[in-house]
Amino acid sequence: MSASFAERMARLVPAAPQHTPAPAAARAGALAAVIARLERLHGARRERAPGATPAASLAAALDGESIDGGIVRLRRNYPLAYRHGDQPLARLAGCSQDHAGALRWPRRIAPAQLLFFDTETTGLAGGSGTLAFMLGVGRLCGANFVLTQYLMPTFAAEPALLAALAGEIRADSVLVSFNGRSFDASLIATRCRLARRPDPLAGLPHLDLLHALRRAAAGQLPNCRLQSAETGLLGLARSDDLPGQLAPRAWTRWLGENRADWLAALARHNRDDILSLAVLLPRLAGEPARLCEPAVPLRRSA
Amino acid sequence: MSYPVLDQTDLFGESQRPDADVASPRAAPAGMPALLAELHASGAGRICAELTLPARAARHAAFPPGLDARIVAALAARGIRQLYTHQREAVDHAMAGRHVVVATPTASGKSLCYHLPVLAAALSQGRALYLFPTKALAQDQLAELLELNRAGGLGLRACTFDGDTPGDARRVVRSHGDVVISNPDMLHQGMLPHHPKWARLFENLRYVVIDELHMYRGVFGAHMANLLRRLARVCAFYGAAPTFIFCSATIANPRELAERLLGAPVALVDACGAPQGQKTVMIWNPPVVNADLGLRASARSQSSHIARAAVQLGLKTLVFANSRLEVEVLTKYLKDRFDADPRQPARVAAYRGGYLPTERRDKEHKLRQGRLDCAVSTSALELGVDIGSLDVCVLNGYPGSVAATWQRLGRAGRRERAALGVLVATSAPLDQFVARHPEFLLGASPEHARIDPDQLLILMDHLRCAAFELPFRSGERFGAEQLESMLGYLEHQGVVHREADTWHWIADSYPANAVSLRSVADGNFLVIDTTGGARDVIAEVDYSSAALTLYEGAIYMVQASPWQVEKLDWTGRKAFVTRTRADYYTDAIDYTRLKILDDFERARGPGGHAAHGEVHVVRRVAGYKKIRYYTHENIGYGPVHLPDHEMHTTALWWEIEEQALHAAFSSRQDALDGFLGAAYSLHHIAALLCLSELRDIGRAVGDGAATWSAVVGPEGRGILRAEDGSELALRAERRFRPTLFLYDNYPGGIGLAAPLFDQRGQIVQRAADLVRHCGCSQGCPACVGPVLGAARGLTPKQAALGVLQLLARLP
Repeated sequence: MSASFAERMARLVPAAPQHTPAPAAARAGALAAVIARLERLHGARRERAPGATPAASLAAALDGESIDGGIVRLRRNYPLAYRHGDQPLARLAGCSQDHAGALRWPRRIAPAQLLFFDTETTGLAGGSGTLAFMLGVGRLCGANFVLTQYLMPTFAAEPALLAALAGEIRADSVLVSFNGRSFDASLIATRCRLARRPDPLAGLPHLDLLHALRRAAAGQLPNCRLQSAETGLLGLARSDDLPGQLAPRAWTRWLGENRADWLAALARHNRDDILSLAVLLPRLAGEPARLCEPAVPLRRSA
Repeated sequence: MSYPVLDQTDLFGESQRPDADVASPRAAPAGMPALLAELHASGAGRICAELTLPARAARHAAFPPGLDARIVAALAARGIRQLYTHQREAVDHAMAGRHVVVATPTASGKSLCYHLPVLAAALSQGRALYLFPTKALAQDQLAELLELNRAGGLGLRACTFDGDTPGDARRVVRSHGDVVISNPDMLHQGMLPHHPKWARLFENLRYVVIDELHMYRGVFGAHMANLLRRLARVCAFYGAAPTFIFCSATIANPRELAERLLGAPVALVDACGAPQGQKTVMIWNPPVVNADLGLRASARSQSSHIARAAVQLGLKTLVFANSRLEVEVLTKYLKDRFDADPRQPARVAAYRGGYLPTERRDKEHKLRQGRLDCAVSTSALELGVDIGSLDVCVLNGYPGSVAATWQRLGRAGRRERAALGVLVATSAPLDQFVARHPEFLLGASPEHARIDPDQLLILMDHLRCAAFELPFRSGERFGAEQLESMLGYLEHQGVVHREADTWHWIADSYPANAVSLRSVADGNFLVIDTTGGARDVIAEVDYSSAALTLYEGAIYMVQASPWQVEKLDWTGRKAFVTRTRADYYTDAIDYTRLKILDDFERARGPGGHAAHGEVHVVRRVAGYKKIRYYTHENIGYGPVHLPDHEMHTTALWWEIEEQALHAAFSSRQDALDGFLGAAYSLHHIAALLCLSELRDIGRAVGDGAATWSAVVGPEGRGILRAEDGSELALRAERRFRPTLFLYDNYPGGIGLAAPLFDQRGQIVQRAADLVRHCGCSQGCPACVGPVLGAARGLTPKQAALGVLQLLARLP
């Protein structure tokens, strides 16, 4: 039955209009080199041991732990002396209203309230067919910056992933993201709606560093991408990074072939993003105010 | 169901709408008797039928009991104190939660049938979604709804949502709109893929209103049926089960169409209670100017003569033409007469698809305000765009269906004024058929609108969109195909992933963007004026007609002003044009090659067979003709170099063996000419009988293996073209077994080939009747196509009849 259906389609489709947009083809070409390098670096191991649950095998492959609801948690502690690029994390702990800079730092918020977050998704198209399969959050916790990542090994685990995010939120949390107000937060809202769960991010104050960077770095950087800020403001050059746009393929590689190698690389990429946010914020706060007008006020996320 | 039927002297003592010009004989425009007298005087021998539809009184019914007092007050403030019977019937169905389709004539107050239940629902938090096929119609209904809202202080929030809605407004519409007025394309690309953002609308959705139902036939209808399947899935997710209210112009099967679209039973309301002014309808056949060739005076000249007479008598006039080119040519003729003085505001305007939206809004506004005296339009104005009242409607050529004819004629005489509609026959076969059999039009029921909701390519396009919107679970249904086979195919393509009993979307793409509801392929062409170094976009042309209108050298007309295409960027979808003063227009020459891939059913008979099945079609635009204005003489040719248009579709064909041809014809040439003439008549009759438009079906003559295809050459005789377009010698071909194709002109087919095959006997018989009884002596555009060249042994008419007789012998 299915073969005859495929035959019927094969007869029809060659004559049908092709819908491969030109930019997608070009992008694929540019990425080919990156992909080839990744293949060399990671080899082609099958990660999933026979009989193991998806969460257990993914946890083993990523050096994480399998937790309730069938999701995987990765946790790393970074002491404040840790330098990301040429920026020490300690600067984050020292942020206060005295250094308003580009952020118009609100008096009442303490650095420990800040919740840095970033998602890895199945695409950038948006809409109900896009989901976040990896969530990373970072926060100051005593003498450490604690970075926690959650991954779903199956679609069925998505509600647990969203519940884990909700568990990271406190009443006084302030979200910090890069382009998260229009992308990540609205994606989470959509996923929660589909999972029939309340949106844990709804109503939280949300500081989107993309907007701050736009003002602070106007004319100083070639563009307002995070990577440009890393090179131009943080002294950071990533090596062997898995580009964010390969995130969808890291996910399908795991789903289809049970290979976690790209997910491991993506988890590292996600950690680097969050660390960059954590040092970018004090860097922008330290910029002279004249570069930063108009300052970006805190806004509530939708 | 029955209602107390009240006439106009009921207890309220007034008609439904207190417009000054309603239902009063004095409202007849002064020029109308004069125009009728003039047409009767000049039309002797040309008017082949005339029908007067008497004025009809209103039948009223009371408001439904328990209607909220605020709504009653809102209606009263708009002068509505009671309903027409059909309105009451529809409102009762809708309020009881029964899907309903209202099929009553133009201007019978259909919109109240849905506004009323929607307003009542909105007072208790129920929301509604209105879908109109065009943005202009959405604007009209928004205005009407807002007036009712204002009049009753209902606190209703109604908004349009379309491509022009700005970002901030979109958020407001999503969270607060009680009534969202949109179009299928926005539902398809903007709303359903983002349904969680629209959760509040879907959770509270009580009514879905689909106006202009008759538009959703053929390809567009198949898309719409699948779009409604997706809407149903999303509504079910939010626990909503909205009631659907459809409104349709007169077609034969409104209920069947609504049920096919919705996949659920729908109640029918078609007994109209609205009053109607007196209307005269004429069928006008231009005089014969050459009896030998059966040539008649051009319809264009007759149409513009009638329109000129009407405008001169102060009657607001609308002329419909069947192509954009016709619109531009007619506009030029009328502008030459009425807009000769450039210092005066224009009295004549063209209106058609392809103009920019602002220009169309401007024309609509001027028409409504009465600032234009005459408009020339394609079917774009056939829809319910509010352009106010018109007195005279001239149809330059039969629109191809009874339904479209009445829809267009309905444009004259809104608000009950006496009105005139004239159908001017062209020399095309359908037109001459109607002129000879006026009862076909004036007495007959209109056509059936057909759709094939399970057309495989369309179904798969929407299955992708549906999988993106919500994961599929086994046990669900989506169309008639087996769901697991379809999802297995998508899984193989790597766009969905199966986990346990659920299929999830995994591709990094937004499938709705790759699916256009309106046309075969994506990508409108922009027409860019580069005169004097400018770069202004002056029009848009859809993909399917680009090859026929925007080739390099083409004269492209906007508001009757000619531009010449200098350069066509096919991949970039742009045509660069400059202003020109050319005294000619251009017409593309195209030919089509078919290859039979598979036959589903075959009927053998003496000397050949008939069959239907799958075919591969390649269409090529080979060149173009230059045709001088007014004289219509052919003043030159130009070559065209464009990519072939290929598709895979279904077809009906007849193949005749060479021995049978030998017995009937003295030469291959005569036989080939016969096939081309027969194809012309069969094509027209098939469109008539399967109740579709001429362009929905294609015709071709070839050898079935695509080694050659036949076209009418410049000398008027059939010639053979090889695969690469070069001419082949007819005598040299080893095998001569011509095949005549009628094919479904849409990739994958929309289900026309099988009904054509079933009706093939009648198609052949009627085509033979058409040719045999045509008034011409040798063959003419009304039967076998234009006849060119000098006299020959067998007339084109005899040759075509010879082939039709061979076909008639097949079972």
